[in-house]
Amino acid sequence: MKPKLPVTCPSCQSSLSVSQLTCNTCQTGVSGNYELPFLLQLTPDEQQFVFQFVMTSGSLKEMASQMGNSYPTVRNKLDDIISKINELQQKS
Amino acid sequence: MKTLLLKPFERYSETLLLLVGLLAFAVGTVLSKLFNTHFDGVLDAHFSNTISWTETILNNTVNVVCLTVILFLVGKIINHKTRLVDLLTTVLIARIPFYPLVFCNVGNKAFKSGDELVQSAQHHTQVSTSAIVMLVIMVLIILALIVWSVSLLYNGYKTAVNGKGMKAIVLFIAAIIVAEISSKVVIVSLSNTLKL
Repeated sequence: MKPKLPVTCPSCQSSLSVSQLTCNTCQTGVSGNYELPFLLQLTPDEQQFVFQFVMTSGSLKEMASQMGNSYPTVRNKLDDIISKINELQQKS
Repeated sequence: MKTLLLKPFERYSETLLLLVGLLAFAVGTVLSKLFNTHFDGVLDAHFSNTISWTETILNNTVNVVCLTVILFLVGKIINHKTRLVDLLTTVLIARIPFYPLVFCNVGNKAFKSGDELVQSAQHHTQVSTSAIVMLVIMVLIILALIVWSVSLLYNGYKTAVNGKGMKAIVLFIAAIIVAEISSKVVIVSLSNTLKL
């Protein structure tokens, strides 16, 4: 099972930040306090949606047919993600 | 099945919904003529012993146009990206539950029962059990179909305008009331103009 990247604190629900990065080849570790990019603060479903959006060249109609949803459902999901990104931008 | 019956707007394309809605509109209009049912308001169905083709077409068209235009205007207030086609398909599909109501008036049965009740009330005579049973069954069927229709309408509206929260609900209720009043006014005015 591929572990999910936790983006919110399980204790207080605040946004998490990156404190350590490791090179998988030589195991060098980098410590610091790095904020997660907006895209990574989205849920896995939302990230998948953004990925599909890019892969279909931004065609919501094509996404709707691929996802088996109607056009307004897909557009609403995109609008919700835009609102969430705007909120995250305002917070940061 | 639940999606098909209550939330078809979330899954099916507007082309399919439009085709089904227009087909249902045509069938519903023919049935309301055959079984003398007046859909003279967006939430109305009245039975009589006669109705002309002009009346039945006028009634159904005004209902669809009034509801679509008013929901579209409300949709634009909530979300400027709202498309007219999504609300037109919503209204056309949400009217489908109204069409089976016409079968209550097969052989003008519903009209005669209603007429019998009115006559009994006017002359203080005993109402027949069959008329009361017929009325109760009809009311239950009508209520169930209206609930289904309004659920479809709300779900379609919510999807079309991405409506969330109390504001979307309040505006939806207001839109239904305004559509009901305006459809009544337009139907009566046009009927008088066309001398129906």
